[in-house]
Amino acid sequence: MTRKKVLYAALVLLTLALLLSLGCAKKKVTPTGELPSAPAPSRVPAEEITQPDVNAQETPAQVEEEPGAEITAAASKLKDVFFAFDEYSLTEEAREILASDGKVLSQTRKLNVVIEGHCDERGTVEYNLALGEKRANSAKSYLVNYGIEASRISTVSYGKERPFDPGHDEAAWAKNRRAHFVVQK
Amino acid sequence: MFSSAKIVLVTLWLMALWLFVPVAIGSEQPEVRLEIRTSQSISIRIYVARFGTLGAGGLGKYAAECEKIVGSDLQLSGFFEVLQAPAGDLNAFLDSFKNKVASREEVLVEGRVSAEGDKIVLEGRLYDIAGRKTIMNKRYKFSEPALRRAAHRFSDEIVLQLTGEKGIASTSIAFISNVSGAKEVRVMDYDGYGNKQVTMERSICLSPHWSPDGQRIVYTGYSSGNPDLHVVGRYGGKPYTLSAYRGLNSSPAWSPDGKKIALTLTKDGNAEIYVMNTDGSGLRRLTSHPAIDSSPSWSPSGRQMAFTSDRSGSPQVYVMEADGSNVRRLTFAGAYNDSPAWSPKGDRIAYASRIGNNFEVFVVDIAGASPVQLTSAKGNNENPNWSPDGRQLVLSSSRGGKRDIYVMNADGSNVRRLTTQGDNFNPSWSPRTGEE
Repeated sequence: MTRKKVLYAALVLLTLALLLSLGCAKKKVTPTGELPSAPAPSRVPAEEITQPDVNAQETPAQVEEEPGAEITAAASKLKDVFFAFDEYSLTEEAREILASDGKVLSQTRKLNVVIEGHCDERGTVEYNLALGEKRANSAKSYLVNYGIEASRISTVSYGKERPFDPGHDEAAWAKNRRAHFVVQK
Repeated sequence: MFSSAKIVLVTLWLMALWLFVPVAIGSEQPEVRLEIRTSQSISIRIYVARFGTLGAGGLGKYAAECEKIVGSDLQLSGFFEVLQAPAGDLNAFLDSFKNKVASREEVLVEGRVSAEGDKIVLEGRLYDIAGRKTIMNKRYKFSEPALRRAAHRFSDEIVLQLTGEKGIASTSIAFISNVSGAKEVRVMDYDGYGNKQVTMERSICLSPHWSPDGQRIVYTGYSSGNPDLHVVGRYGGKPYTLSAYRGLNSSPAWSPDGKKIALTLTKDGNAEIYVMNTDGSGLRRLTSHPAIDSSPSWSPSGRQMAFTSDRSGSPQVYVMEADGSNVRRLTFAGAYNDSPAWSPKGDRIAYASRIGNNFEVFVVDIAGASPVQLTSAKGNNENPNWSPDGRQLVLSSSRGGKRDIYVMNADGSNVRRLTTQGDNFNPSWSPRTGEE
């Protein structure tokens, strides 16, 4: 019986404590429903936001010289070679064209060339850059094997960035998968 | 008797718990953070109040502009349900929430625009409706051209307060565009505004990629005649040449710690992946295979890289350690998978895959399991790149008849077109930067 009394007494005390604590908590927050007025400007430091000017500056391009008439005439005889989709190996037709290009190059020793590798628009920018490089190198390798000094031939890949035909069909794509000859300036 | 004593005991226990638990929580609770249950769920409702003006006239248009930008930013963040608070008495509006149990956290955003000298001042406030207290006060001072930037900054702070992670409204997207006539690097805000040219190579620029401090962009440029790597400031200025080996210097990727750049070189005869210091020194070759290896993308820890290789016969995505070891193939479905982009949280890799005649954007987890197709639009969808919070992807798409830059949520929803003029491709999302 005494145990029960003690328990009841404790219960009463705790209830009182609980009510008291709730009362206190309530007093503390006292929601008013009013949006407090904004703090005085000086209390919140202002962050200065500036908008920097954008100023693109020219990157100097390389100086180019016009080639002489003899070289221009010989260069006009150079023919481009074409490739199958996602391929850089030379077809039989491409080999024949390169053999005739090799002949032109061996006859005009002052003619140095850049072989540009090009791709059709399918596939990603980066992969096509690498593919175009392989196409240019395929053509160069053939010519070096033919007997042209490697130093007379440089290569550059344009990937799919400079299509010859802007179309979006197989006819256009076939024209764009090529190794293209230009005179080294 | 026995049982009633038991009941009393249990009651006492419960009451004791009731008394002490709230105290414990109250002392540990962070002051401002509201809980986001999962990254994708929308658990907070934001009411955007009409942004007002103080003092001088003619500021109304700035207030309206700031309000529109902040509202749009909060919506685009994907974290919130954004609603317009009714015009008129804000206190009456707040009173309407009294004694209502909200199904989700509700906050109010308000702003006031005033003039200080020749500057505009935006005071922004975030208010917890249920808690009836101001969570955050911000004050920004700027001139008119910096208005969008200031509003974006306020949006990012709101996202930080409510989610614990800063927003991405102040980030930018670099990309290639031929709108000037040549393919140049351009930078625009993440929402497509402020589209500006930062290079003037007058030839071809490709594959821009940001430094992790957001101050520089490395890209491939043809102004010398050869595709070299150049670096230009985020706001333009004079670019410098970082790498000019014979052949390709392409697909650069700045390492997450800012100290290295991974790139593709063909100087040894075939496209291989290399890594160099940011001054061009310390070149090291990572891949060694007669096939094309290209397009490295660092994992956020910097310990691994995803890349593309056609060593299997067609381009596929592979993963290797950052020293080139432990190469393993990640993608198996599809005949052409390229442009890997490692997510900023590290758990997923986005890439472009050819489906029929078109490319579509996919994501796959880093074990290579369960690739998910995110786009299925007309035309090619390529070059996915993550927002720094990993919640969105930027890509180039020709769905509109020509290539443009688009942004979408990381699940493929909510697609927005950011460019309209010219041919636009190779997007790269900037990191968040300290001061932005």
